[in-house]
Amino acid sequence: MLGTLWLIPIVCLVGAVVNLLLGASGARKSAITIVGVGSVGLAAIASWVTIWQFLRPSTGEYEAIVESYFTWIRFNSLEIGFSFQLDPLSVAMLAFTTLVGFLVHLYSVGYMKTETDRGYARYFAYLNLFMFSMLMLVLGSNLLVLFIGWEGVGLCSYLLVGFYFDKEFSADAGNKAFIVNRIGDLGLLFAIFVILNVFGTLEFTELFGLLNSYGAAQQYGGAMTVIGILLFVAAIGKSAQIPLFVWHPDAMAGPSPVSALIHAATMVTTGVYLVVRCNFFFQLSPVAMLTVAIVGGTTAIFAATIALVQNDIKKVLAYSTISQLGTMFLAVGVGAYIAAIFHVIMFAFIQACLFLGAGSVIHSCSGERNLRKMGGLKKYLPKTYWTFWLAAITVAAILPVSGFVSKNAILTKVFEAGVTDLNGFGLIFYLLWVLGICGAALTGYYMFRLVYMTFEGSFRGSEETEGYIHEAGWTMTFPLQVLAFLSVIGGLALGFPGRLFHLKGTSFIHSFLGPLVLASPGNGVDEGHSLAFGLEWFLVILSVAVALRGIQLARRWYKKDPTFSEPNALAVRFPAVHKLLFNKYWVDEVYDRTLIRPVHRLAVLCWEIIDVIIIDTFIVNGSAFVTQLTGDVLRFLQTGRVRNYALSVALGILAIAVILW
Amino acid sequence: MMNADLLISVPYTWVLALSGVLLAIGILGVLLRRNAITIFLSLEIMLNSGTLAFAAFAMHFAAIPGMEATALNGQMFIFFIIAIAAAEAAVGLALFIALHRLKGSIDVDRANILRW
Repeated sequence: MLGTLWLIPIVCLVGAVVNLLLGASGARKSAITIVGVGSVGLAAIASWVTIWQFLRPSTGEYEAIVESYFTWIRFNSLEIGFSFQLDPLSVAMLAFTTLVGFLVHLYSVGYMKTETDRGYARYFAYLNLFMFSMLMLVLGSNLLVLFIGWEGVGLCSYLLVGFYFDKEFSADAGNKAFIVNRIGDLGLLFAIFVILNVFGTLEFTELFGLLNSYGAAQQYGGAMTVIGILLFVAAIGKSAQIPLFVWHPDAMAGPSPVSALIHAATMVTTGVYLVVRCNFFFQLSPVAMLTVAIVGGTTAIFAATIALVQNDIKKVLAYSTISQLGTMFLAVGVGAYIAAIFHVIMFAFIQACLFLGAGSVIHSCSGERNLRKMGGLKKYLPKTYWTFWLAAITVAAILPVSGFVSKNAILTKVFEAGVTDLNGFGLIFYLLWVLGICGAALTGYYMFRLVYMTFEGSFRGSEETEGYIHEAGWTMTFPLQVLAFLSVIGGLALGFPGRLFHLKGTSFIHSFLGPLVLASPGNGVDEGHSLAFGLEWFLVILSVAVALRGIQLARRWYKKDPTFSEPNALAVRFPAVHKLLFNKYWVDEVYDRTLIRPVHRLAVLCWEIIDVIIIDTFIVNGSAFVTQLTGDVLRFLQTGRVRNYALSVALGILAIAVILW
Repeated sequence: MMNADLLISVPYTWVLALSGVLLAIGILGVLLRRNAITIFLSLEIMLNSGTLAFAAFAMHFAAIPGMEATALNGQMFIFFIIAIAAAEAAVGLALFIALHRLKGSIDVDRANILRW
């Protein structure tokens, strides 16, 4: 299928345009559904055929295909092409993006059916546009094509978070998501400038080739750290890490399928994708790697602690998402790029399943999001319940399911980084590992707190609401079932940890993605485990044990005791801690005081002094005043007498004559 | 018949000087008089000073061997100027009639609606 990669994103773009036109011409929902879901379905089929073709030559080596369409920018020696690239990493991203994308579109048909026809068309147009941007991002063969997609997904995120723009908090959340992301985008832009300046190319394959050569680390040493940090700034913005994570919980104001697709499965993981894609910079810069690891590790535990006490079903999931993204960056920071991408894929299924499940709950409870007004939904929403339960158990990383496989791979690598004293920062990695283990326990606790508060016990909302509760149609339950199935099975199929069972050879995903990671003196490629067999099993058992302990605690506090007396008592006993967590460490408030208000004051100052006084008064009105004054004085020259004008002509001629003499 | 010797006996610089004097008279007339017809006459005097200057130079070049063609050019221009003066007279007189209809006089100082 050479030369047809462009078809995959274009189909989605066509879908978006047609839907906008259909919406404007007042088409009915059935037509919009066919275009909206159909276009993404076509893209999914096209991409899976492409992937199948890519995987078929099983010679062991997967050749990266770069399709160049046209020269985009040509300036002196600089030439940037518009081209797509199909290599193992983009295959991995493409596979789950189109699959989850399609399922979310299908789910949206049921979820958005109460919208007006126009709103429905607008929704699907944006969602298709998002798929287009996302596919551009994943397929782009250089940083500039990736940047188009990067900005495109940001735009769609803004549009969809603010989908209910008639509600003020929704519009504000959209703005917040957009503005915070701008900071990260600036990082990416600067990274592009620096890379162009140092290497003169933006093509991933060329950059890899340049840095793969002997002595690249010595030649470009300092620039690596700068580029790495700038790229990571971009990733921080998109993937909601400290300190730019504040937009993500607010983005939950968007419709639930949007949260599932954009803010859980695909867009927020593009930060991880970017870092893995550009791993050659990080591999050559220990400082950049350590930064990534520390930010990721702290975000993981930080967000997990906030999730412990939140009462909004989607907010809990949002913080869980941030926490999982932090875990991925922790993996990247210790050089476990493949484990990170593996976790991205698993997490896309799991988190999409959770968010769609939450959407199903909210949908059936007439828009109620407060956990304290739910409960006992198990008997009304059986399909939602078991899919949600399965996804929760995979997030909590309990032994046989895929969440365990991917998360354990990361934690093991972090511990190993401590053992091997990676880049000389061994102690820090041990510390991050401890944080990771604590995070595992917290994850088990807050996920099952969510499950028990939602589904167990008896309904705590109004009786009127209870009468309405019903399972949604197949368009909503089918995606849930597929995603739950993939959450449980996917990880085992892709990355079975054969090492734990004395099996030879690495797992599929490791051999598949391995060649993409640049080997460097300090950081070995992902495959090489150096831990003793017993130690590795010990780590596995430890992480599962703490997760189980967390679940057990949630079970005791939230399932067995319908009044939640113990957690309530704890909140009373430690009011400071509870308040700190409940108010999310007051991060928003701190930003408000330290950044937003000063900037706002500065803006007011600029307006009142620079704009009103300097520009309006002095420059605009001042120049008008001077012109008027000049006119007032000079107009007396206009006597209206021909003779006076004639005199000036004569004097002028005389002057010219004198000068020419 | 013109006596060539008599013509040459007047130095061309004299003719040129006369042209300058006429030009000065014309300029002063335009600047100092208020009657449009008088101003117009002064303009005509200035034009004629121009033709006289051409004639003076034609006379000068005619006396230099090999420059006879240049001399002819000067005389050619005199006819052009006369033609232009005639056209200008037509336009100017039309203007004065229009001015008179508008203001009831041809005093140019009264045509001052463009003053400040």
